[in-house]
Amino acid sequence: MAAADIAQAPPVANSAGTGSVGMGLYMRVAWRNLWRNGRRTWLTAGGIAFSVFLCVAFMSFQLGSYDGMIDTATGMMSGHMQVQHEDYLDDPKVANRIVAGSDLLRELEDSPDIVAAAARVEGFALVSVGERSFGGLVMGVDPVREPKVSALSGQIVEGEYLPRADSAYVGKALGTNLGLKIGDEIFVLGSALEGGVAAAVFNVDGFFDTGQVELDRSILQVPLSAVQSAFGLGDSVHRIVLMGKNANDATAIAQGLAPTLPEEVRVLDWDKLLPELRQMIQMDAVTSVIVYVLLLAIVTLSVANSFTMTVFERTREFGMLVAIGMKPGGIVAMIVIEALCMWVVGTAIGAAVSYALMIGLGAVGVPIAGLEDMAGQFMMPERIHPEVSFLTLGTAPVVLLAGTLVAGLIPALRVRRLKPVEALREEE
Amino acid sequence: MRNARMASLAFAGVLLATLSSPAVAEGEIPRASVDATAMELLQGALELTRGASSYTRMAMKIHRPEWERNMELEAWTQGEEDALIRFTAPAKDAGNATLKLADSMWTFVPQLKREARLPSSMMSQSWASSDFSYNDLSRSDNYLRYYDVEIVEREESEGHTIFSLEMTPHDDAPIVWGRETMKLRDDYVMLSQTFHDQDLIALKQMQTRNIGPMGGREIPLVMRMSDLAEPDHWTEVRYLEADFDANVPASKFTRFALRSER
Repeated sequence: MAAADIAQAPPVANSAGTGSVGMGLYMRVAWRNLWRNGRRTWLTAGGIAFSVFLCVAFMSFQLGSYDGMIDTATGMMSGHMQVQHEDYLDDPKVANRIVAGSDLLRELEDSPDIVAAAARVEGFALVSVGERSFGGLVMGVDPVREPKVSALSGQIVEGEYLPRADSAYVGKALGTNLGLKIGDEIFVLGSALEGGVAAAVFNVDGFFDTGQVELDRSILQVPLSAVQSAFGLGDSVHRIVLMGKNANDATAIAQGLAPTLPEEVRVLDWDKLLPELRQMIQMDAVTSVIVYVLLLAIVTLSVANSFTMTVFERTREFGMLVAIGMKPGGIVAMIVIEALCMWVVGTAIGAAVSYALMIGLGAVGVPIAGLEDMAGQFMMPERIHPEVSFLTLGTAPVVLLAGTLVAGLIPALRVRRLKPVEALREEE
Repeated sequence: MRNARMASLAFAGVLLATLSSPAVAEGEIPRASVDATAMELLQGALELTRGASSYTRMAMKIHRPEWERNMELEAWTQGEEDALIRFTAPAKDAGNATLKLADSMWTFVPQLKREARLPSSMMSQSWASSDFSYNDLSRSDNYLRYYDVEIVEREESEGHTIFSLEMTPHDDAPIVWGRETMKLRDDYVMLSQTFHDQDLIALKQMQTRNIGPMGGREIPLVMRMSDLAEPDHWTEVRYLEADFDANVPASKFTRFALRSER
């Protein structure tokens, strides 16, 4: 009876425990195997940890700087979206206008997705003072609404932002070219909408300096109504600049707004307003993806190398395991679990350090000191906030998980062709 | 260089007919011979206008698909270089004036009592919303010295020889056009002028629509400048009055005169 019990017991225990106990056993053995050569394990895991750290840190900074670039670039003049006459983008002439500008502006302001809106009119004109004159873009803006959609009013270096109905806010370089100082009178001369001369006189009350030469050299802002009357535009406007909560929502909001707009009027998101911005980001992203791929491939290869060594060194051990009845598949599983454990150790260290650092820096931002000129040129913000997201934190660990499993599996599969007798003869 | 004197012949603006028309009495107009060279044609035309001063009154119609604007203006010229143009109608624009002295141009706005000098960067802009640019008004000697001129065709029509000229700016010339072509009658009446860009695509064309006697000679009475890139965009200038032997005082061509009169 007892013998029969014993004889029957193992199958029962086996069938009941294959899932939990068996797996647990594999895990324990794999973990113990890993530390039979501690130095090698630490080195390989260290490689994984280091590459996780590098990838997470670089990606967070990179995507963070993209967000910063988008915010800075859209925040300067263009806004997240703009409503324009359908031909204005390609042919920005005075006649391509939105006719009932103030009604449409109010309607858009009431839209729940829109945080801020401001109308502009623009006309190319001669800006003249004394014997000097230059061509410039005269931009009529609403002095109250405009600062909510554009950072230009914040780039003031001297004077005030449009305090009066005949004020002008002038780019520093244009001001220098014209020899202007605060309080000077400028004469603006252009062509009116339906023929004839558009002319007006303004008082220089402020200068701005954005660091972007093409803005500083050509733009002057004056109150909206002054330009509308000088150019014979009535209530027409050329752009209604819109800000949503987040630049990334612009496309979706624009799609929602499009059907509500009058005929011949369309809404454009920043992607269409600033095509060079998206191109710049894409170009940068492509080059960095290549670097990430190379880095992760090198680490994967070093893991594969480490496991190939392991499998060669342990041929005798595997031969014996097969000889006493372990299925080759079990050995493969064990090696793969060893690889998995290696990944867990490496990733845990790399992720712990990088996540803590990125979350901390993401909150406070990293100042780019001494690069203000370049920042202005390339639309970079003054502080980069590393982006903390599934993409930046998760990509490297997930890619390395796949890499490590493959790196463990390929040498492990050799075990299936193992001949126990030959293997046992191998020197340990 | 004599060929530099072709300047006012190609003066394609409102003043074109005035400046390039012979300054001698009707009946004495010397005809260019059939085998005249390009330079002789241009120089001949210029010899006749040299030193003359004129007074003309013109109507200008700016036509757009959506609107049309009728204006009237007076112009005084002296020699080939100096001109004063003043709008007289409509009331909104009356008094607006443009003064050209050699290469320099000023515009005066009487409502604001302000004048502005036009920088070279603005010369390709439209003048008073018309299809003429400031450049069209201001072309002068040193501007035109950069062209090679060639007669590409001669044809006989209604007792006249009509010369087709092709004017190509030198490579280093500060000229926006890639080529200009011109049809000139042997009595120096310009029939048409076409402006081509660097790819030799025609962008603007000036056409004489009516030729008749005025101020004692045959001149283009109605000229139309069309924007070939924009359909239905043109500006037409029609002579109302002309005196090609007017005794205009030199003081007319001063900044003071620009500002002082309405």
